[in-house]
Parts: sequence; C-alpha cells; structure tokens
Amino acid sequence: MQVYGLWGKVLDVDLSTGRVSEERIHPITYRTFLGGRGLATYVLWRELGRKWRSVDPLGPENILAILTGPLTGYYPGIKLVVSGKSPQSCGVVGSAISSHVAYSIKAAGYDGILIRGASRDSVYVYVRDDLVEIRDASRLWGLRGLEFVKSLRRELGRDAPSLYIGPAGENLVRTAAVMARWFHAAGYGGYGAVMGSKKLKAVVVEGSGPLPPVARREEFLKLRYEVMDRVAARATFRMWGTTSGLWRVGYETSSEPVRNWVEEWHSREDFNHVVIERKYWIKNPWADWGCPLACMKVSRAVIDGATYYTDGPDYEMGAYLGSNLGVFEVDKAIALSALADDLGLCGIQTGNAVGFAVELYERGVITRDDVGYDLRWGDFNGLRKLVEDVAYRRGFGNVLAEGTYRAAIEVARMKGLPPEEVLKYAVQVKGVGVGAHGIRSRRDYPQPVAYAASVQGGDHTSVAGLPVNSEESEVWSAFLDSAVVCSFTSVEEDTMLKFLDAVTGWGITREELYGTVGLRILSLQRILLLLGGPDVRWDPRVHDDNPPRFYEPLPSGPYAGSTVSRDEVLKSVAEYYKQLGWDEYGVPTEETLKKLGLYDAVETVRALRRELGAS
Amino acid sequence: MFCAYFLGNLASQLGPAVCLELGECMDVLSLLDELLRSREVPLSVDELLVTLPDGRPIPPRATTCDVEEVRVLRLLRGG
Amino acid sequence: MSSAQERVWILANYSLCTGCRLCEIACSLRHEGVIWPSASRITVYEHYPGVPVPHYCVQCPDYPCVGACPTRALRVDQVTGAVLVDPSLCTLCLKCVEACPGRVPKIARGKLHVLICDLCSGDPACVRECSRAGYNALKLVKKPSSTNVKHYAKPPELLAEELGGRVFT
Repeated sequence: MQVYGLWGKVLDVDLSTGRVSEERIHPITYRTFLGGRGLATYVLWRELGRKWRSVDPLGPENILAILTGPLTGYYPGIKLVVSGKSPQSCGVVGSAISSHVAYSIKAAGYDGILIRGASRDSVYVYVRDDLVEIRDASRLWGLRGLEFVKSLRRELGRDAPSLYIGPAGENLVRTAAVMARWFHAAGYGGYGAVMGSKKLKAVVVEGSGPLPPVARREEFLKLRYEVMDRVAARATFRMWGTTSGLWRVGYETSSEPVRNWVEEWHSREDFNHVVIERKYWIKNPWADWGCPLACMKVSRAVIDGATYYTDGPDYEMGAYLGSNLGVFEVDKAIALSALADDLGLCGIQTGNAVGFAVELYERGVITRDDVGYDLRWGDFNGLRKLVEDVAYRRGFGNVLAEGTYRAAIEVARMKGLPPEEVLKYAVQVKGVGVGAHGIRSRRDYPQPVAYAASVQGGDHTSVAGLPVNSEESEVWSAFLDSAVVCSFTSVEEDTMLKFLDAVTGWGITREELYGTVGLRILSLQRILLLLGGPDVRWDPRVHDDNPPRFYEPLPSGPYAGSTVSRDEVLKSVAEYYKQLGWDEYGVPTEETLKKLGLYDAVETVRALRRELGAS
Repeated sequence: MFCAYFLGNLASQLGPAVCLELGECMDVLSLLDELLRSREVPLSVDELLVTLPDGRPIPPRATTCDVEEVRVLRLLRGG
Repeated sequence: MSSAQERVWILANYSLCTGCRLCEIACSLRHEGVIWPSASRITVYEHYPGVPVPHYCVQCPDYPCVGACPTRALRVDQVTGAVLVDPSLCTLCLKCVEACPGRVPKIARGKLHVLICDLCSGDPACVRECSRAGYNALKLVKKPSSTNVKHYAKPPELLAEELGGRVFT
C-alpha cells in the first residue's frame, strides 16, 4: 500500500542505549491519525497508555515526538509538532512550531523523530539523511539561544536547521519551550523540559533529498497556487503580523491580559504595533519556510546599553510579557520577549506565572522575604530578574518554574493557606496557562467553553467551540496540527480537505473529518488527559472549568461589567461533550470509541467512569 | 433575500443570522465588511471565513445575486 | 545571438527578501518536478535573524567556472548568458566550485552533475514565485554591463557579515 505525501517511516532514537532505528508506520495508521498531533497521540497511547499514570513526563520513559504531517512542506505555511506526555497537563499536547526542521525531516527521508530514554551526558541528535548520530553537546550545553545558534554553525561549518533548548529546558523548567530559528517556540506542553530531562540540547536535521511524491501532482500544484494567492493577499496581516493585537485585542475587543487578567482592556496608545514598527522593527516582513504570508518581523531594542533581539514580538509574547505584567513601554516588552527566547522559555507560560507572582506580591500573599527583591507591575528590572530566576530555578523563580498551577499549590503550602485561596489568582486550565485571548467580552474568538473543555487546557491555539462540526470546534485545531499546517495560512475546510486529498489520495470528507478522524484524535487526547499523573490528576467536575478570574466582571473598558456565568459555561461544556459523543464527564462513550475503532480504550474509559462514581 | 449565518462569538455579537432584502446585486465581501463596520466589529473580511452553507468557498467576486446564503466565522484564531 | 546588453539578470534586493525560500521551492519544482530545496539552483542563507541572503549564479563576465572545467561540461548559453551544465560530461570534480568567487555551483544527493542557475531560458521560476507572493525581492532586469555583478557572487557567509554587521553586534 503506497502512502503519498509521507515516507511511511519515522526515526526512533533511544538516548539510554544509543540505539537508532527506523520504524515503519503503516499507511492505515496515517489514514487513521493523519500525522503530527494525531500520530503523536497514537504512539503515546500505544506505548505508554497502559502505564500512563506512572509515567513521569520528565523521566526517561517519556517519548519526545517530533512529527510532521501529510501537508507539511506542501501546504503553504510550515509547522511541525512537538509532543509527548506534557509536564504541564500530564496529558498529550500537540505543540506546533514553525521550523526549517519540518521540511528537512521529510527531505531526510522520514516523517518524524521519536526520542526515548535519557542520556547521561549532554548530547544532540544529528541527522543527515540516513546518517544519524548522537553527538556530544558539552560545548553547547548551557548556551542561550543566540549563542547556541552561532556555536552550532561554528561546530558544523554551516547553517543547519535545528530544534534546541535554552537554559530553561536544561533546568527542567515546566514553562520551557522547544526553540527554533532564534525566536520560534513550541511553548505549550513544556517540552523544553522534556528535552532537558533527556539531556538533549538539540535535534539538528540536514535532509538533502526531495519531499515524498504526492498522489495527484497537477491538482496539488493548482491548489498550492490557489492557496498561495489567497494567503499572499492578507495584506494587513503581512504588514503587522499578530503584533497588531497588542492594541486591538486590548482596546477594541477587551480580551488582552492586563496585570494578570485583572483587566482585559487598556487604552495605552503607545502600546501599539505601529509604534513598534516605526521604532523597533529592523526587518519586516520576515517569513518562515515556503510561506507566502510572512507575518514575522525582527525587532531590536536597546535598554541600559544592552541590545535585545526578538521577533514582533508577536501578540502573545507582547501581551504576556507586556500588558500582563503592567509593562506598557514597548521596548521593555521587546526586551522581556527577547530574554524569554534566549533563555528558551515559553513567553505565554512564563508571563502567566510571573504575572501571577506579581499579583501575589502586590496583595501581600508573598513578600520581599520570599522573593529577595521587589515585584511591581511594570517594574522592568524586577521582572527581568524574575524571568531569569525562573530559567535558572533560583530562589522564588524555582517555585514559578513549576508553572502557575503547581506554583499556586506550593505557595499555598508555604503560606499555610487553602490551595483555592491562591489558585483563584492562577489563570490556567489543567496546568496550562491560558493564552492571551479572554472570553469575558465575547468580542474575541474563544467561546466561553473554549478553555474549560479543551484537551490542551489553556492552549489558545486549540480551543473548544460549538458547533463541533465546524472550524469553531477543537476538532479543527486537531486537524490542522495533525495535517501539520499553520493556522494563519489555513483556509476553509473544503479547500483544506481537497488539498489533503491531492497530496495523499485519502479522500477524507468533511463528515469523516468531524465524525471520525478528528474526533478520534481528540477522544484519545481526552482519555490520556483524564488519566493524568503522576503528580496531578484532573477531575472533570472540578477542572473542566474556567479560571476563577474569568467569572469576575471586567472592571474597565467598553465592556466593563461583562462576564460569563458559570452556569452557562457548564451548560455549554455539557452540550459540547454531548455533540462529540462523550458522556457527562467528557469521557468518550463506549459507543463513540467503537465508532472510532478505539476498541483498546474501552477498558480504560470504564475504569475512568468507575473512578468518577458513574454508573 | 440574502442571509449571512454567523458562528461562534460572531453570533453573540451579531445574532445567529442577518438577512437583508436587497434591491441590487452587491459584492458579498463588501456587504459583510459594511455590516461589520456598522456593528462596530473590529474585524476585516480578510480575517473571516466566508463560505457557502456546506462549507465550500464562495466563488471569487460573488455577489448577493450569485449566492443567497453564506456562513461566516473567524478565520484567524490565535496569535 | 543576443548581445550581452539584452540579456536578463536576476537582481536580489536583500532588504525585501523575507527568507521564505519560495524561490528554492519554485526552482526545484521547475527543474526537478518536485519540492527539493537541496537541488534548487538558488539558495537562501540566513546567518542573522532577518538577514536572508539569496545566493545564485550571477553570470560573471569572465565565467571563471567555465574556464576551470576540465571536461568542458560547462558552456555559456549564447542567448541568455547562463552557464549550462552538460550532465553527460560533468564528473563532479568540483573545479568549478573552487573557481567560482561565491562557491555557487551546488551538488545534490542523487544528482550526478553540478547544479547551476540556467535562468530558466530567460524566465526564471524563482523570480515569478517571489513576485507572485508579492515580495519582489528577486527582479528580472537587464543585465548590468558593469563587473559590479561580481559583488553578488561572494560567498554567502561574507555577504551575511556585510549585511548583518550593520544591525547585529
């Protein structure tokens, strides 16, 4: 059976034994799980599912999956997915990142790389087509991003696409990202820490061959140009990228995190993409591989004699390391974003944890004795210091390095408070800090059910939504992350499915996408999320909910007073589960599992239901 | 009669559907753009997904005489 | 035979280049029928963030590569001025790479001859793709008569230093 758009095999690298092998992936497995996030979920379920609860995400048992999908390299806008058991949610998070490694893996003759075990000494994995080596990384360990990229080039004598971690990943910080190309991050999930736990500094891939053949070449080329033309026409997005959100999401839609989400509105006219464009961008537009959109930019700011480089910053980074910390001077938001990139921290998770800490400090829950220095909204020097301390697990940074959820529990323990007294300031869902798009004003895209019912917790790129058979549904995100394409270059389902068909010949219909293929991925992710462990477990009756802050009325802006009601959210969650064929706890029903062909999960859901006291 | 059906939060802002009796053929995207502006929805049509009810794309330069119903939702989510 | 003054040339505007590599994709689709960046006759290097360097044959007026080829596998297209490779004569000795001021000729796994831009017979696919995406970093112009074109033929790491040195410390 021929597979198109993929090679039908992945590299399998065991860092404990040094064994490298190729694993064939059956064409039917691809047809069933697509690739990327879907394939990662399948592999993790197959290999670790039976002992999931005891698998430490930061132990050698965990599998780091770096996977492309059938559309990777063909559909304009490139991504790959990093996955594994998440040290944040203890479920499976498909963490998408733009990287040249994505096409390079395919050019090397593989669809992805699975990395198991853990090395004793620091290493990096080097792939040049069929040459695969586990190399000593002692000269690279400890380096920050910019310095790492330079040193790797010196070591190899040329540029090579790489995924890497900074000091944060090395120090097993749960908010650490897997980085690429200086400023690109697979942030959600915390897979930088998984790499660190394996003593894996980087994965370098120099593929030199062509991409695999496609099923129908002429149709593929026609669709490629059709999509390219449509995407290239997104002119304002090309001009400003997501940075434009810094003004719009705050001022116009009231859904931007401001001071740990106390507010979601601001009227700071200088906290604005046009200001950044004129004063700080040294490159615009900047693009990723094969991208006709070019939403990226490069910015440079000088503060106290230090020069900082980062991208846009994109909206998420600018919001979380800017407005969320009370930082409304754009050069300082740029500097904090650059610092997060260089340290290999996810700007969202880190900004979320740091914002949480500043609120605790301002409220007096934690004090100077706990932190060692002052934490104030907008105080650049204190914030910068804390971000560094998170990456190196120093002092109070060591508490925040566990991510907002675990930090809240630890602060409660330190202070002898009931956990909920601290958790009420933690703007996270199931261990994952919520992305910078609020739900209270309802003027932005996430629905009230978005985070409460997502299988990736607070991930703003994988939100739940009704109706479940539309692009509003999380099934759609699962599809984009499994075909592995960028959501910013995506178009309507009809064309995306035609594209997929021209590349693969699978003939997946809209009904199949929503009814089985996408739902299968989501259902398996949900089961693994509910299994959780070893350190945290999620009870759907408690944790399928928004952060408490989202039930406080917005205090400012044109939508002041606006909120969502918990009743409404819980009703929508129930409706969403019902439409997906899951039970009242969001456990996929046996009937649904059978429809999806997931017979081997039936026992697991029975056990989950028993635990929940369900009949 | 031309109807635009809104999904997701667009529906909570604009209602599930807006139906208009039009005396002339109008460009669908321009019409939607005007509608968003008049309701103060800070989105451009570039950021919307406008399709036929079955999810297929609307033809390029479609007018309200070519299509009677469209489905409208947010395209660019995230960032 | 067209005179040098009528020949076309690919002009790179580094500040417009987004580093997207659509040119590599288009080139390999045109010449190899598949997406194969390593076999593209144009390569984009990026040593500093946001400082991409598109790199390809600039048709030096003195064609050092052609003179250096011991098997006469290289010749100059009399119409376009492009360097054409005869796959049956090329032995992959890489003398042309040594002779080239920018080490431009490429080798790709599975290809038994060097790869050099042939200007797509006067209508380069890379230029079309770049313009279709609206970037216009590559433009088709009348070939400048000056030897200045050689400035574009430096090794990519030198170009990267010249360009990147302005903004990166």
